[in-house]
Amino acid sequence: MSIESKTEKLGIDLIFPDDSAYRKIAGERFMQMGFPDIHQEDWRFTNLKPYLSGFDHFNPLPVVSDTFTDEDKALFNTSSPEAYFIVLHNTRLDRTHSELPDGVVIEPYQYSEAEIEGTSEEVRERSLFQANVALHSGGIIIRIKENISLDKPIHVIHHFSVESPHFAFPRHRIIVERNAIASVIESVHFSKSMGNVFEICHTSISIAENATFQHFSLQNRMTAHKVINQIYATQAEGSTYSNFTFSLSEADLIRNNLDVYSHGPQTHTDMYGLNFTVGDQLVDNHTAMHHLQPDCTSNELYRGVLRDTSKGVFNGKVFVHRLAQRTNAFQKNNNMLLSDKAIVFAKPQLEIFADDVRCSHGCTIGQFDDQAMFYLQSRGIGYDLAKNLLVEAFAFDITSRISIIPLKNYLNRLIHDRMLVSAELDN
Amino acid sequence: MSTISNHMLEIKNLQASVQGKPILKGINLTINAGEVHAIMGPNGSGKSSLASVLAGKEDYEITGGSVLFEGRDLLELSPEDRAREGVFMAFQYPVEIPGVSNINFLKTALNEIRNYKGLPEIAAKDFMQMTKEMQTLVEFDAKLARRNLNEGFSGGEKKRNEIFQLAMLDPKLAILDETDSGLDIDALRIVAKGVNRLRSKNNAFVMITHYQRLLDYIIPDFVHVLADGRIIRSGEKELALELEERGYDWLLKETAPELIAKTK
Repeated sequence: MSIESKTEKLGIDLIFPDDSAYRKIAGERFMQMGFPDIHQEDWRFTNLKPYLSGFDHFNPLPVVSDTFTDEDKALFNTSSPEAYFIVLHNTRLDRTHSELPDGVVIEPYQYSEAEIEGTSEEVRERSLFQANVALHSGGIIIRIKENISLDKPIHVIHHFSVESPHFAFPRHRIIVERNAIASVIESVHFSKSMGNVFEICHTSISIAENATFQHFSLQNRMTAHKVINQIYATQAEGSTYSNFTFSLSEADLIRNNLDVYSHGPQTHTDMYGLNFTVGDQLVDNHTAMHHLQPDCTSNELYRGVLRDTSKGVFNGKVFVHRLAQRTNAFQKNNNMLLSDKAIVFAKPQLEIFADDVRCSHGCTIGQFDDQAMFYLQSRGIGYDLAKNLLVEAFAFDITSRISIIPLKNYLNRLIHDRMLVSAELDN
Repeated sequence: MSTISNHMLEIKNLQASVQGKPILKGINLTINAGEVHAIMGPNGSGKSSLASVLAGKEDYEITGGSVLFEGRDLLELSPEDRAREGVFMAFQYPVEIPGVSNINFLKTALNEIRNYKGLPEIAAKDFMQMTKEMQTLVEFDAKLARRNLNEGFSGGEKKRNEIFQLAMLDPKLAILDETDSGLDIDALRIVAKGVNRLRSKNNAFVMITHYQRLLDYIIPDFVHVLADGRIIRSGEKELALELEERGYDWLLKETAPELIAKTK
């Protein structure tokens, strides 16, 4: 049971389930607003139009169950450290392949008015937020119970299998209850298929008092993928949220929106990002740290390595609201351009309304350090190898902040392999 | 026609400039295996520039003269090939490279040199053995060896790391660019001890220094005084003592009076 309508503005057949009023309202809002375009400040450098071609209807994703090949299974095992598992096929939860410890509860995503209403206005006003509300299907809710401290991370495997171009609108919630300590690793996997997925994902995360949540987004192995990923996180008093976003894939479009709100005092937030781009890839990271309460700290470091004609966008907003006295916020963005034709648009944006705060930000765009290059060469290391070492060093500075050692080692290997492939492309 | 040279390094009338400004104005220097040379001179005389030119730093433009290393034209080689041929410069200001581990860096360098010489990669076990031996030989802390390359090292630790690298890479010609600067007396003794242990009849050292102090610990065979981009006097170790006592002025007066006004 669905209604079908077409909007001129979108140029895409819009089919959305009419099972509830909230979807209808959101769908109408989305139709009015349309996809974001380059006339909007937050989308100035990321023109979605070319990426949308070929996606001409919002057909739901096919329902697939256990379509894992042995190859897929091998991939999961080698591509993550020892972990608990949650598996989703075409955004739908697969309980039989999921394996979880006591204290962690999962269920298919259920719409909650409180969740939508509780979302900040800035985020709710985004047209793709409305699109996701109107069209969401699949997704999960993960609840980590009070006082639980997990011995291993939870690896969420988003597995896609499609035969023609499809949009995907997964919607997830992660609830970390008081004093809990947990880590979640998310990765995307594709079965070999002809299809192409344009994913518009929304994840809302709430972290309760004194809880610690580490969150890793591994955007690799996603060749047939375009993704706009929204993470909306709120933190209660004394909590810690660490987000790591690694964009190491060949996906042609990755847009990450990370919006974090300190709703209680004495929170700590880490935002780390690393992207390696080749060909004509576009990786766009928009982050926003909203310091709403006093005595909070935030630390942000995003790095990009760009080759060929690839493009990087970084926009890092830090808002220190009037109440947020004694905030200590740090932000840094470094970019290494390894080709004359690669482009980076970097924009740090600090808005401070409290008077007793420490905020610093820095941004660099350049090549590797000549002094360091000469030092390595003077020890007999050839130019190309020295270049690889320096680029790896630049990247390892991000992975060195990962406390889960097998994950760190896995990512370092991934970066190393990607370096070798890219270096061959350079020559 | 081939000329067989018995000299390790032959510098003839070497001239170099930076951004059009002449820095080296005709250096002549011959070094043989088994020798230790000290190069002294007032600030800005071109001592460190000479080291950088020999190591192949890009900022310098060679405007004249020649440098032969074991009979080969050194100046036409890339910095990495100079190192692979056996030239090593200990930096005055060693570079910090976060994200590159000291050990991995050394192993990479060693294997690049071995590969150039047609040797297979060093076995992991042999490398560890060698690392241990050399750490002991030059008294370099194993903890520092395992850290990232010079990251967070004190000035003295960085200089000692240069000597550790020197020991590991075992070059034919080692140029120490003001390795003594910024070292306290204990660190200086350790560095000197390391160098003395590494001296052999097959290698040569060039020590660039501002002070005579280092030469109390590493006794040079020859001392050269550099002023305004030229060697104005060469002698034996007594020359260094005389410089310590009398400064550079008397020498400038004798050899290049036109420089006196310039350096003041």
